[in-house]
Amino acid sequence: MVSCSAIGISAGRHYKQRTDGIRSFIDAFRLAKAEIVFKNLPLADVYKELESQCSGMAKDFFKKIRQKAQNPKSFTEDLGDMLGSDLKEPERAEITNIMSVMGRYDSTNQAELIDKSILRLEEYYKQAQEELAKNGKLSSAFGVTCGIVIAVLLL
Amino acid sequence: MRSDFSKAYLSAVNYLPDRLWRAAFSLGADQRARCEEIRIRAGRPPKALVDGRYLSLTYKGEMVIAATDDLNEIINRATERSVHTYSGQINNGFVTTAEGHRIGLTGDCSVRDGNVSTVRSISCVNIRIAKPYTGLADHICEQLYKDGFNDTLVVSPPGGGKTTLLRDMSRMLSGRLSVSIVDERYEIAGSRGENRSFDIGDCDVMSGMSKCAAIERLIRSMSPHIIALDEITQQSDVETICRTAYCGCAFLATAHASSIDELDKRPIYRQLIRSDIFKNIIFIDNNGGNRQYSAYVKESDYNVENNGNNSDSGIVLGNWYFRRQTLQAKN
Repeated sequence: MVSCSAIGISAGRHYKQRTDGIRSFIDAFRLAKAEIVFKNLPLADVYKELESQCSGMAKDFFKKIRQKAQNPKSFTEDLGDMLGSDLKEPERAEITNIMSVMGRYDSTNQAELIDKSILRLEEYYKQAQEELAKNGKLSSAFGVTCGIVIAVLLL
Repeated sequence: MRSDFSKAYLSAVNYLPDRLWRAAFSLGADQRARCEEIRIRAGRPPKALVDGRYLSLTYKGEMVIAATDDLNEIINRATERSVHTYSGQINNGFVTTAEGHRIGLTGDCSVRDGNVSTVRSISCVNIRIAKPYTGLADHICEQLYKDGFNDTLVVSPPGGGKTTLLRDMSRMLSGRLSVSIVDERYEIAGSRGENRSFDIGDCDVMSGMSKCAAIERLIRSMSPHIIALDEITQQSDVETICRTAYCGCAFLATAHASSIDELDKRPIYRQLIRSDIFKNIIFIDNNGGNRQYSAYVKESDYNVENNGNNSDSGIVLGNWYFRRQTLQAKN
């Protein structure tokens, strides 16, 4: 019963982490855009700001990015690994895409790219919220119910 | 000083990808210290300018060919992988590194609203190595400013050492006068934040801003005795200098010309000379890395109409006669 409940709760938590993760990246990219447009900060400083001011999944991600950036060679091929497993493939691809073009354009173009990326992430965020509302509690409840059923059957 | 030059070379070649970095050490230690620039073209071997001659860089005796990716990597390193931070400089065709080296670039640019939004492919990169010649201007200032500082224009062809002399003159003069530097391209002080790559003494530095805007702000806020600025190239620079001259501060500036009489041929410099602001002109003759410094000092009591330019050692520019004086620099 305990293990089935744990699996159900874990599945529910996955939905929650995915939703919070997308939200944290939306906030992070908004902040990145401000740092690029208004301060013209180089990326290393932008990532430092993001690490210190963001929370959750985005904070961990930019911390890893900063550690990797110590190596002057490109780190874009490792981006997927740094994102963890809670995000779905389209969300991971969106974040990887915007990260791979960061610093390649002037601030106006860079801001436009970030805006487009934020719009797409907001769509994913809405979907994730809906899935959380629909499946999150259901997964936990289903897990607990299965556990109880299995326990009753065994008795 | 040789060790300082070797360090400057080392910091400049650190922007090269590994393959080219190794080739950069095909030069001997003396050549590295005397190297003035490294020019890298896509599909061609990189070359170093030493004593006025271009030498190909090789690795273990074999020719190294630079690829487009190598050039992109150089710019990525120089811009800290942040084009947006350096777009103003890229728009002007160069990036100045934290150490003050100027990396000029040519290639295929994407332009939006008249400004370069990104460089699609880079075809050539030219790293001009900035070297600290501290003490170079000591003798020059002693010989030229016995009766106090007068507005001075430093003139030479590109790569002649104008910025180097300007930097050291600013340092030297800041010991007794208030000197403000307009460092539009981050080359004079080589400053980023609180770090300065060069010894500029007690100068106040305004970096990254256009000359026109910076001059007016400095006059209002810093009350300088001298404003030092590099490379007068635009009409607006000349107009600002003419407008702000004779308001209590003097100018120490540089200009491109391959000879002193060219100053009277280029319209914007003609206007500058005829506006009677600069009393001294220093001309740098760069003969294969061996630089000769000459001063042309305005003689206000010389009557050009009556006497003409009858002296072998001077020149008439506008309505003024400039007496030539050879300067001994501490090289």
